[in-house]
Amino acid sequence: MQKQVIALMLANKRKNELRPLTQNISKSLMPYGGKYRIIDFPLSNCMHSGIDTVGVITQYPYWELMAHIGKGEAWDMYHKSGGITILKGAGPGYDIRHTVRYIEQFCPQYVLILSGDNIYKMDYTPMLHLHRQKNADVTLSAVQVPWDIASQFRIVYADSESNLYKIELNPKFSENNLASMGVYIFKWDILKTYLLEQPKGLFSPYCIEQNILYPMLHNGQKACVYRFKGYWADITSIQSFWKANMDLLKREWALDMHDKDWRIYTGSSELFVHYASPTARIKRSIVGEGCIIHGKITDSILFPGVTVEKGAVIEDSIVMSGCRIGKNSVLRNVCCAKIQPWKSIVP
Amino acid sequence: MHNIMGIIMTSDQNPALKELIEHRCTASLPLGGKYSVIDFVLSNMVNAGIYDVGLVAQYKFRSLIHHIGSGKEWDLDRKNGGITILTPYLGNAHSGWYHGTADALHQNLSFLKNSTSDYVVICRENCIYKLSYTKILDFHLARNADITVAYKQMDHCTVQDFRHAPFLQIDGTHKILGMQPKSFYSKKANVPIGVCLLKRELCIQLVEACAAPGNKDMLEHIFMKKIPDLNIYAYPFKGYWKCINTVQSYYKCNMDLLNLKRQYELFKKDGPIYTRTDDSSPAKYCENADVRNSLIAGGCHIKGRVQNSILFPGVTVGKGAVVKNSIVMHNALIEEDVLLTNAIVDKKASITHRRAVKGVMSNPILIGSEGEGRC
Repeated sequence: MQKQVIALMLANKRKNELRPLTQNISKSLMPYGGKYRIIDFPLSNCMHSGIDTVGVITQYPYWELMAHIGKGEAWDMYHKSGGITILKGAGPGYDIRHTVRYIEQFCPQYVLILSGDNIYKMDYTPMLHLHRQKNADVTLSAVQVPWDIASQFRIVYADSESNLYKIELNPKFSENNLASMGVYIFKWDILKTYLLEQPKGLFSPYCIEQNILYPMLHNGQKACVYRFKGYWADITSIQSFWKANMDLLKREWALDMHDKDWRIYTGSSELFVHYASPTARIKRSIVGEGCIIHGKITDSILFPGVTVEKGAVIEDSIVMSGCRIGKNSVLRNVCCAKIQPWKSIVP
Repeated sequence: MHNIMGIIMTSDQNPALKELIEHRCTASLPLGGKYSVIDFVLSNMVNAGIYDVGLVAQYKFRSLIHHIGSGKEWDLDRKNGGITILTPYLGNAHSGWYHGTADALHQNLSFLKNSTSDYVVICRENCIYKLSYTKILDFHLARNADITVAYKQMDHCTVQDFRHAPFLQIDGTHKILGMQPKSFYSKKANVPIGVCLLKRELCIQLVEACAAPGNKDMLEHIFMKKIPDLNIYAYPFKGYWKCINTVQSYYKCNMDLLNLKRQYELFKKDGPIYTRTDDSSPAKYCENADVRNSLIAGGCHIKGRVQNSILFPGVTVGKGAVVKNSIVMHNALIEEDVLLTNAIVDKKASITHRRAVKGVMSNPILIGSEGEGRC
């Protein structure tokens, strides 16, 4: 079955900074926005961009990932050819040739490599257009980030013709604020030769950059930069996790979740709608399904199935699935999650 | 473990539901913030391990078929069994429009015959309750019954509310003695809740033997006539039960859900209620939102006041608007400074700027998508 373009999604990052939240799951499965998991964003982007074949690369105990993705029907990716496939990205018995074999069966012209842990709504087709128009070997997508945090990213430099001429990793003083988003389009035949040269290399974002992108640039392959304009959030710490969630309340114009033309899809839940009791006071907040609210909530995000008892006050907080906030308790600037054992993290 | 198959009978055109069923059937009427009426019976079946379901439909069933889809939300997209929609069709001499539930079964006898289940449970679609049908089977087996009909003892009921079913006369051992005459009105009546259980083979026999133009209703004209010959028992159902057959009962049933105990009974106890997902993002409350005693679905955007109301997915309540004792269906738009009291707003309807719409609790006003109140 031939496909022009297929996607590979790297869902195997696990940051130590996010430790308590990613105790059992990879970063891509972190909850977001009162309903979603981060991986829903790139998956829904693929769906809206007409890409129906996605290999999700993971390496951690992955039943939770598989349970979330299921048959892929939430993203209309449950069909006879292609769909979503979970691939192993590291560990004993891992061999890059298995991944190559997976891609080979679709004989794609282009392979889109995505990172499974960024929050953004992006149509990949204009990027593919640019890649084809420039006849590039690799195109990477970049977005402008605030100058003060530019040093946290991989900064790319491109000329007016969109040709990439320099990449800097975490520059101390950057002359540019265009950061790589971890979204690449490769010509498959070229990517394949580079992949097979490093059979032992882990399939990770680091590997993509170190083992493929840099050698390619070194060998003078044509690389282009696609400038993405829109909201893009990278989760690297509890703080940035916090901020990305709060952006939904404080910068609602940035990422419109109510936009019906670019819906974000997720595995469904069987929860009842949420109930605000006669004593509930809710303002400037996002409340997920199945919550039962008796208390006062302002500037907060509540994930599905949270119970807030009478007299409880929640301000500027994120309360994750299934938590129970007892009578008269007060939460301010708290991110609370149900992790075994119970833990709460104050940013 | 006994094998049960399910048959769901959808009701006919019910004038008492007025414009609520102008473009849909009762089965696909939205209820409880994200569900449809049919979800309750269907989920009861699935929660009882019934995965072979026939759905008899003949009135305005497009919305119903759209809602059911492949049946995957109820785990009914299966190789063996699954959901089969039994609509009337033209074929041989006896086919065509269904004249009552008995006729519907008669025309679909091959569906019953093809199944390998031991028992069949026949349900009405328009009743809201949570009941595990395996409990009825246990009752059925314990009493060595031929047919078991579930009922609920009602304190205040009028014949008008329950035209669809006979009232039952029951003795101390729960054996059915007969029907109470239809004109009978008493404070207490035993109302069948629209669930009958019997052996599949017996069901086929009865339907084949009793097929006649006058025998329209399965319960009234076939089962009840067999009282002298068969052991027919009544299973007492004690939980919450509501039949959606008038605008008032529809409104009341929705309002009944604004109660934590009922929510627990209907949606958490003995398994969830499944429905087609809507994929809307979580509800968002803005600066001037003030929501009390209400059910709010995903995708709602609330800038005004909402009290004792039920909001379905995608409803927008504008700034300064007040929604009280109302049911607002999918994607309706309540603009700024609107006053809405005791109303049922249909899907995609919009109530423009500064309008005041007021119904009374006993007779809520219906607002269709054209924007005008009609009641």
